[in-house]
Amino acid sequence: MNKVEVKNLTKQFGELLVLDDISFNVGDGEFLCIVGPTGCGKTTFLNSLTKIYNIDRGSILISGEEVNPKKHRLAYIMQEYSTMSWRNVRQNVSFGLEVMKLPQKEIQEKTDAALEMVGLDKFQKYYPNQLSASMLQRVAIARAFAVQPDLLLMDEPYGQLDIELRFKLEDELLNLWRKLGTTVIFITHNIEEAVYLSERILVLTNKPTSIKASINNELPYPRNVTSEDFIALRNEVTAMIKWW
Amino acid sequence: MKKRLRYFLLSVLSLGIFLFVWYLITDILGIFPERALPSPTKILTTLMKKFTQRAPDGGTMLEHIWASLKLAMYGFALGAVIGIPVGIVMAWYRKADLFITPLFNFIRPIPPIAWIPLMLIFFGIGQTAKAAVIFVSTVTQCILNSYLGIKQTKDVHRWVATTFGASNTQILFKVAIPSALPMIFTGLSLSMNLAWMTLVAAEMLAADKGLGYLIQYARMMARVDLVIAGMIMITIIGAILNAVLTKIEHSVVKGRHME
Amino acid sequence: MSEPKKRNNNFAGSKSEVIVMAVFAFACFFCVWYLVSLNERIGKFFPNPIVVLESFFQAFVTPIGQNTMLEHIFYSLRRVTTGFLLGAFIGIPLGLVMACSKTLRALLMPLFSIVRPIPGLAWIPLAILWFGLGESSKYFLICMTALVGITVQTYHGALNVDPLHIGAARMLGANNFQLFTNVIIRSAIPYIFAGLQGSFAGAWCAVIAAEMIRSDEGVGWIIFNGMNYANTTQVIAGMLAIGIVGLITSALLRALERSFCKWNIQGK
Repeated sequence: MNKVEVKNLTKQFGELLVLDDISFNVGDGEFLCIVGPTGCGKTTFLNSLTKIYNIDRGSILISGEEVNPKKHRLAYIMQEYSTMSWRNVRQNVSFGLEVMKLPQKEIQEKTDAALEMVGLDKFQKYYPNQLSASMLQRVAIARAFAVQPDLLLMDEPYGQLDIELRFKLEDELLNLWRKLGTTVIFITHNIEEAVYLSERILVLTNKPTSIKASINNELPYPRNVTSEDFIALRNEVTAMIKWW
Repeated sequence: MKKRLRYFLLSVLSLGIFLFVWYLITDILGIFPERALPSPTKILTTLMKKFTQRAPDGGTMLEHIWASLKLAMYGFALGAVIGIPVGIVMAWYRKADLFITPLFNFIRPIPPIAWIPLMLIFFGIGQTAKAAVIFVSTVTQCILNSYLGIKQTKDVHRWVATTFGASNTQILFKVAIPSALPMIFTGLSLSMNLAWMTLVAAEMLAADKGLGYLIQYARMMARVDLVIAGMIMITIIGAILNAVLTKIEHSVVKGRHME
Repeated sequence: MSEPKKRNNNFAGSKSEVIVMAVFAFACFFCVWYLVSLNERIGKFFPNPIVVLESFFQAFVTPIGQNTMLEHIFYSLRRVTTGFLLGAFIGIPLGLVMACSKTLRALLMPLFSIVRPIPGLAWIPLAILWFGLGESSKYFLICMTALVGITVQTYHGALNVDPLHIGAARMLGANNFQLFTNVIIRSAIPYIFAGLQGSFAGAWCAVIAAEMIRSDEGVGWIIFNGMNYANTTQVIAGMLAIGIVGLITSALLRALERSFCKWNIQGK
């Protein structure tokens, strides 16, 4: 059974049709990247997935059931910084666990593990206003991984960071993904990033958005951005986008 | 560094000159009779003496301070305890918002002082009426600020909570209220100042003790020195209340600042 | 539901729903009021809403005391405007001066800091002792109440000028005077208006208080007089008037700010 099954997803805001009959599946533990032009509804799509938006038509199934944030373990890392300024790093990371009402001991253990994974254990007591941008994103990542989600959604999380940091965090993400076997849907407009991370790339069209293509990425990890295969794949995807 | 020292000295000098000139024109040169403007020394002595003297109004300074403080605190505490939750509920639950907010906006423009006559009619001359006025003014301000604070809850945070499967109540307590705390405290501080000031006014109109009563009585006795002494006390207590509230705010809203 | 469920608090659901609920809320409020006023004991204190509304509108025709409602409002407005303008004429320059000149700030700030924490209404007895029971004491009171807020806000506004703007202006060869008028005042204007609006509410309170304590006309007098005769109807009618006038003047100030700032932005 596929982890995520999206069928005929349609969403419009008033007169504006944003998502147009989108259907696709994501396998268990698969790392899927979604690329598309800015404003094509990628964020709308993720918001619909997590039930932040109600959809007009279609269905979204997680492990065969209607998606339900209370039941399924979802984690959503957004484009904007979403750390809560009134909680220190440790409290931010344990937020999801608290919401799930896990026993104290379990919360502590999982928070510790998550903090260690992203290397923030020394900064536990710091508050968001004392941290740099990359650290804030790491907090969000730790918070997401702490709940050991069935499905991890990421919306251009590294868009604001400089290249060096981005590379570092991308590698960290791949490590975490491999360790936990989470299913990941990663949105980006950076083709190179998509080719670097994904096992499969979905290319979206402009609004009204639908799926233009699904490209498998079988390059072996760890990937080399300068290798011929990499560049070829990147060009293939870029060409697809040029058709908009 | 030298410059800063220069400015500091200038300030001290300015204050010194001001006090000196004041002293000069009153005590020494007698340009202003004591009736109109007492000298700083006179005011200071009056202030000191008043702490133990009952004359002319029937209460010592301490008794007046306590009377005013008691009333202000009582009305303020009640107003805050009711106002903050009401404001939160109004902002969070749609039905409450649609129903209560129009009524609230109707009451809001009425300045707290304007409630004094009504309360005096209802409760007669006594402590209850004044406490009721303080209550109304505090409740209004607290509702307003709590409401605004909750309404300003960031979508981003709300979405994070929703995605993790939080229920509406969980979002309220884990996200909305903590993020609204600075605004709620602003409301408390505004209410505090308003309460203190309104109380003083109410005491001027109908009381037999309290700082407002004191300065009004002193006015009628044409005792300018006592009036000013009373004003000084009112100001000091107000400043102390403010400082206490700020201290509490810093320890509760710890670590977090502007986003 | 095709509306985004984004916000829990964006009740822009439908405008008509808001209006309907508001009307419903007021209807309930008046019904409860009416029912309560029917009760024997409370009814003595609490006139029913119809009587109150009647008397409110009646006051525009028949005088309360010596003047009709409109005249009372006029007296109050005149007082508050005079005192307020006085406060603004002193406060705005004071704030600007303290912000721009370090020397003057060092000289004036300590004196201002003494006056600043004094609650506006605490000036009442002193005002009466110094200026008597007439209009001047009220002007003084309102002026002092408004002065503090206006000065503080103007000061902060002038201090908050973006140093980039100052730098740019200087580079273009502006002298100090030009810098002052073009850059600093322009930046300070929103703050000044914020100060004006905030202080106006306080000034309105001050005029009401002053009229309650000593006067023969004005909206504050109306409620005070009503209280003396236990005329609850008059008191509530007066409160209504106070609230409405307060609202209107606030709205006018906001409109003034909008038009002023539009001009200001165009002027840039």
